[in-house]
Amino acid sequence: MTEPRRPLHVAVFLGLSAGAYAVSLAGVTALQAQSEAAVFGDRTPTAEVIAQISAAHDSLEARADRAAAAYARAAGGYDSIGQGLVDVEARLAGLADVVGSIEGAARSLPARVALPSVSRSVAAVARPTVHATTAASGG
Amino acid sequence: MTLAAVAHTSLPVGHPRLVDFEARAMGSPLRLSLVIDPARTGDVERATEAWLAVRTEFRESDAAMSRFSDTSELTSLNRRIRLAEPVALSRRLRQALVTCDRARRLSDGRFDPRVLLDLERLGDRGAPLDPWPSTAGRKRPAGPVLEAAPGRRFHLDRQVDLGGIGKGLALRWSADAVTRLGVDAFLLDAGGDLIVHGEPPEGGPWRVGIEDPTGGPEPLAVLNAADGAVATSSVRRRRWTSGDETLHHLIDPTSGEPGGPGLLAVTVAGPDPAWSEVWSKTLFLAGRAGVAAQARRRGLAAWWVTEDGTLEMTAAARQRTAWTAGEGV
Repeated sequence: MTEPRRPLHVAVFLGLSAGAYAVSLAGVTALQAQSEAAVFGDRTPTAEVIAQISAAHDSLEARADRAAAAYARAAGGYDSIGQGLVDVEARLAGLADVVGSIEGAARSLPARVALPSVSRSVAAVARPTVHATTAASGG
Repeated sequence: MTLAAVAHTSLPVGHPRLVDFEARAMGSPLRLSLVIDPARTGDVERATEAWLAVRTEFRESDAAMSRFSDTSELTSLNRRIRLAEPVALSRRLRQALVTCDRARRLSDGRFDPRVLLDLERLGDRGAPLDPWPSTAGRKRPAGPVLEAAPGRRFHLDRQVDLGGIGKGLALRWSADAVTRLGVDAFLLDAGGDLIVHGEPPEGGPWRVGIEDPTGGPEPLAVLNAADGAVATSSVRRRRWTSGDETLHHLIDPTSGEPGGPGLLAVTVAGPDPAWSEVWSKTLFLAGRAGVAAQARRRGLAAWWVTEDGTLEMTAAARQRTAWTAGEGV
């Protein structure tokens, strides 16, 4: 009786095939990684520029906010000054009315006023008696 | 009224009255007027003691500070200055010179006693110094009047005249002596410079007239004086002519010539007779152009008479003025 012959060549074939496949897969993977690294290297400067533009945009936005706040304050100040000017104008108008009334009163005064005659009387002030006289000493 | 007359007065006993003592001292009339009550024990005796104290003070002041006396301490000092040696000074003369030095500083040099040689050069003679120092080529004095030297001695660099301030100091010392005796009210008059204390018999302030420096018999004004002094610097008496020039004894120490242009007299009322004399002379030397500003800057009660006879005064003086000739009859 003969022993059944084992199919070793099939096993070897399968092993070789699997090895070949693994080698080819590794090569393909290496080629793909190299390609992606190149692409990433090409895109890095662009990202930096984008980051700078973003920062500039943030700064510009902050300045715009500050300018808006300053404008709001100036507008508030102008409003208060405007009210003060209105008050001053109102007072000037009142003063003009007073001046006008004084001018009117002055125009109504007579050009000459006749004063009543008075009797002139001067009280004589007698010199008090002195106890001493201060003078050139002569000494 | 003299003290003897008080005993024969017809006024009722117990009524305060004025008694006068009169003499001459330091080249001027000297009068002490005291308010006494004869009914009060010791008043008459106290009045006599007060007059003796005044005479003593003036006699000793004259012996210390007169430039006319040949034997005074000041004359001796003025004669020794040329030796450039430090000298010992009596209490009175030292106080007078120290006061003069302070007055020189406070008046910015306008008051300075080192004008004796100028007075003599101009013809206002005192006791001879023998040999007579010359002022030719000498700078005007500028530093202290006296400087301390070892051994309680002092050094002076120039001959001094203490005429006005000496009399003011004699008045100060005499008034202190009278007050120490317990006299309540008195007036002490040394030739126109005076000091008052208390009230006159009729009450109110003492009334002091301001002499008309043009020679008129009536005072130009009457001022109220209470517990203080009045001094006048005037050219009415000590004035003389030299050629065509009229000179007087109020010497400007910065020039060595008679000062006070445009003024005839200045009167100052203040608490102390010596300082009233200092300021009246200082204001006089400021002349008409500067007297008002000087008097007001120092807050003085001052009256002055200009060359045309006009009486002017400070606000402080106006408050003490009882009457002026301009408003009288």
